[in-house]
Amino acid sequence: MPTTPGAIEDFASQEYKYGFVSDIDAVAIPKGLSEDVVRMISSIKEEPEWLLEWRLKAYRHWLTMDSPVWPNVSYPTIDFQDIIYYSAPKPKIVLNSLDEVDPEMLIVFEKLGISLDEQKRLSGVAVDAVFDSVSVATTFKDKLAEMGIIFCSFSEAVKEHPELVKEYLGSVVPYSDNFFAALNSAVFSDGSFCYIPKGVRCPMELSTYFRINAKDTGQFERTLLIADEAATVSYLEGCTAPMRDENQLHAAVVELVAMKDATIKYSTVQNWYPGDKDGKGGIYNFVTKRGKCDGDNSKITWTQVETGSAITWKYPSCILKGDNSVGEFYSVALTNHKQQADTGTKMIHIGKNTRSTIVSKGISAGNGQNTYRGLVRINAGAEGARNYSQCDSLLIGDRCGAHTFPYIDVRNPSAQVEHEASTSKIGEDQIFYCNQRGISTEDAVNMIVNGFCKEVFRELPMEFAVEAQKLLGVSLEGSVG
Amino acid sequence: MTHISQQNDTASYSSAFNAFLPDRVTEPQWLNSIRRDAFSLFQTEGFPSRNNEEWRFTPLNQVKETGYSRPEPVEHPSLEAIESLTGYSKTGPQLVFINGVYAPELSRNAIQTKGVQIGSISELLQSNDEILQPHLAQLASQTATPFVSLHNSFMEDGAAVILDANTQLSEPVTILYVTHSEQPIFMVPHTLVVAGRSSHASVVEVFASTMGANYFSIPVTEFAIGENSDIRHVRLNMEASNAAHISYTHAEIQRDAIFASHNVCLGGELTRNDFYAGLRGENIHCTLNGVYLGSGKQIIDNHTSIDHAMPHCESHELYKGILDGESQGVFNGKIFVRLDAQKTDAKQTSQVVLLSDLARVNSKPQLEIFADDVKCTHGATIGQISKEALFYLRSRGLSKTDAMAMLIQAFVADVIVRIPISELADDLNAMLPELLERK
Repeated sequence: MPTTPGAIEDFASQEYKYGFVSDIDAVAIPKGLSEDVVRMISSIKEEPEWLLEWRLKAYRHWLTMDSPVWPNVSYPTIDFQDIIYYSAPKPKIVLNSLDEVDPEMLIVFEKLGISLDEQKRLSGVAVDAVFDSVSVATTFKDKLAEMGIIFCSFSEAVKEHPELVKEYLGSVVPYSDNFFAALNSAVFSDGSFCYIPKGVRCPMELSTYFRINAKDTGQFERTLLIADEAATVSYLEGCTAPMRDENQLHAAVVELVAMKDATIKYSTVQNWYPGDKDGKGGIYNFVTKRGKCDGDNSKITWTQVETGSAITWKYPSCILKGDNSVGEFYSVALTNHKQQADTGTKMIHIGKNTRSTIVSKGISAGNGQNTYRGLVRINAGAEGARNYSQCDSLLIGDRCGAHTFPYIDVRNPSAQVEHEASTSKIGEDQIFYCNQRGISTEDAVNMIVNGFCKEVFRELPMEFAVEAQKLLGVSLEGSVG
Repeated sequence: MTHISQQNDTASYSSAFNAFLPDRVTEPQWLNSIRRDAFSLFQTEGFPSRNNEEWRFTPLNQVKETGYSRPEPVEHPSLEAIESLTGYSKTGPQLVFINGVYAPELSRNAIQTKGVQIGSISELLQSNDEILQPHLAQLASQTATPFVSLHNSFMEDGAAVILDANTQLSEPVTILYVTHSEQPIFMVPHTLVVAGRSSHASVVEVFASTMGANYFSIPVTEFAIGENSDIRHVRLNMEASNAAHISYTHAEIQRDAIFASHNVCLGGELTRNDFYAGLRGENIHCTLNGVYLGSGKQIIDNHTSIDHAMPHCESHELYKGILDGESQGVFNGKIFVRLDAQKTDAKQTSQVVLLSDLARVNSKPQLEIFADDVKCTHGATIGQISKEALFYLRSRGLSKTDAMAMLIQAFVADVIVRIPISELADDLNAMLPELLERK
């Protein structure tokens, strides 16, 4: 989609659009992490005993683990005792309608361009807005409830549907999975929970806007999404965060479960604060996302547009357990200035005739370092499995880097695995061609970059596709010319 | 705990090294100090563990647990016996090493072109060590793998090919490293090729064995390739079926040079090859190709690394593997494109065909790019023999076995025919059906 002339300049003059700190009193527990803190979080949230036990198991396991050093990113050692593990907006009241929401908070949402009323009235999107760690308002709930769809905050789900949470929590990402997943399991604050019952096609895109707000508060979201037999759901996740100088840690866990014939589409646009031009500040985004195609003929699609964060460390994965199940991964990752991204996917083929597609587009500009790291494993029993991977990198400027680490592990002779990767820059002849037809260099670059990403953008839901294109423009600001 | 177990793993080498050192009192001082440094490094590092990313898929139990000893002098086999091992004989210069030690009576290196020296490292160390001093055991970094430091600790012989500027060798130099032992021995054959400006040569290294003992071969091959020279290299691994072979090949390449290396892996229970090509000048053409055939419980692990440090260079890589039985193949191809290496054109392709249910492959084509004006591509495929192609041949009356053999041969021949030494390529191609039959 061509952008109007001058759009880049407009973007270029913008400060990080969503960078502001709002003054809402936050209830916070003291800095640091200990068994007491885990117990405190659990008791504040009035959690049942089994969940506390689970958190404690995770915490004890976390103590035995070391922070991973294999990702191709560098950052100062994180002091896990210097983080506040829980904060909730105050006063904590039960809200039934938007009128009861703190007016200042509404203004914050307004600035973000996701005014709940607007969203409700215009877009037909149900928004579960997570402000810091506690969900304050959930819309369209009634409409979804009619169809038997459960879409609520995680804490609410623990209270209302403990049997579902107990059954599926940790079933895809066990607490012992990795360092940050263990940390999240011990201290997760809140998140979203979604259950689509048998045979139901969710009538609208489900969406959650996450915001990191209170200063020094690591955000530990936990999302659990279950699509029962033959259910279909599309889920959007978008993120913005205030500008500040101290690095903020974000270690979320997302678990998806797709039963027989179910389809889950999970889309993310991530534009957290990437730090300033010198790489100061910015979010550390260490996320574990994994989906399990549990039943036959199920399908999970991950689509992500990663433009933010100082450091991104994220591998949305699919475990293709059911026969004929399908996993897809479409990703655009952009790094500008001093951003670092180590992202990719894992496709674990277990069932027969399982198929997976990986399309990864990495764009590096400025001093950005972009790494694709992926694993395609075909287990011995995965008869007739098929994988196609493509990872392309685009380099803008001569101080950035693009890296590819694809792991391919095949144990079945009937498997067909293809991997292709290319690295290129925007050709001078391409720019010249556009200039010659009256398109400015900035617009030409924007056009070429959007064209480069088109295969991924067309997988995004409409609202996101538009936002994603704009985001790329903003994020590339200052990298051209 | 880990420290102690490492000590145990390297203990047998420690006693062997202490027994070996007094034999080396007459060697040049520079080499002796390299040797001592190498061994202390090996002792500190120990064998790599499977937690080490570079060695994740290379099981070293056999190597660690077998108490290999240094070779004892043996009666040499006949030249016919040796040449029958490799299946071809050449008229050009040929250096034969038995258990890592030069066998002059089996070698032919009388053909001395002016400005060309072909000989054994042990002899050169005694007669003319100055020409070895700038390069020997110094091109391949000691720290590259623990096996390089282990090799340098015990290195005493091997082949040296030294070409002055503007010299040409009309025939390829064949270097035969033959293991002739019933005992589990370890050997450290060393090949050093120093190519002066605008020189031209082909070097063929063959690793073979007369008996089926479990032995451990740790060769290191070093190339110093001068400006505008053209060096072609073939390494043919026909080791015994229960041998371990862990090699390291290092090439330092200067501007305008051509370097083409072909790696043919057939034998050995465990084969691990590391190739490193450092492109130190502009306009270098570097080719690293390979083909491997795995069967039984073979593990064939190839790691290549091409370091584009300067602009306007080209590199090509084509690796093909066929895996049958319970064999396991590993391919890790790294391409580094440094900040200054603009206008790099690098291509890498890895293709594997799995023939059995228990065969397994791990492939990791890796690109690390720091320059923006480059063309870099890699492709990796893993699959099986195409059903359509099989059907086509069968519809023309070929039996399934014959059709299969023909298709496999064609798949492998794709790499073989690219070997830039035509007579060797022809020979290997002719040998292919027999080699595949043996598998």
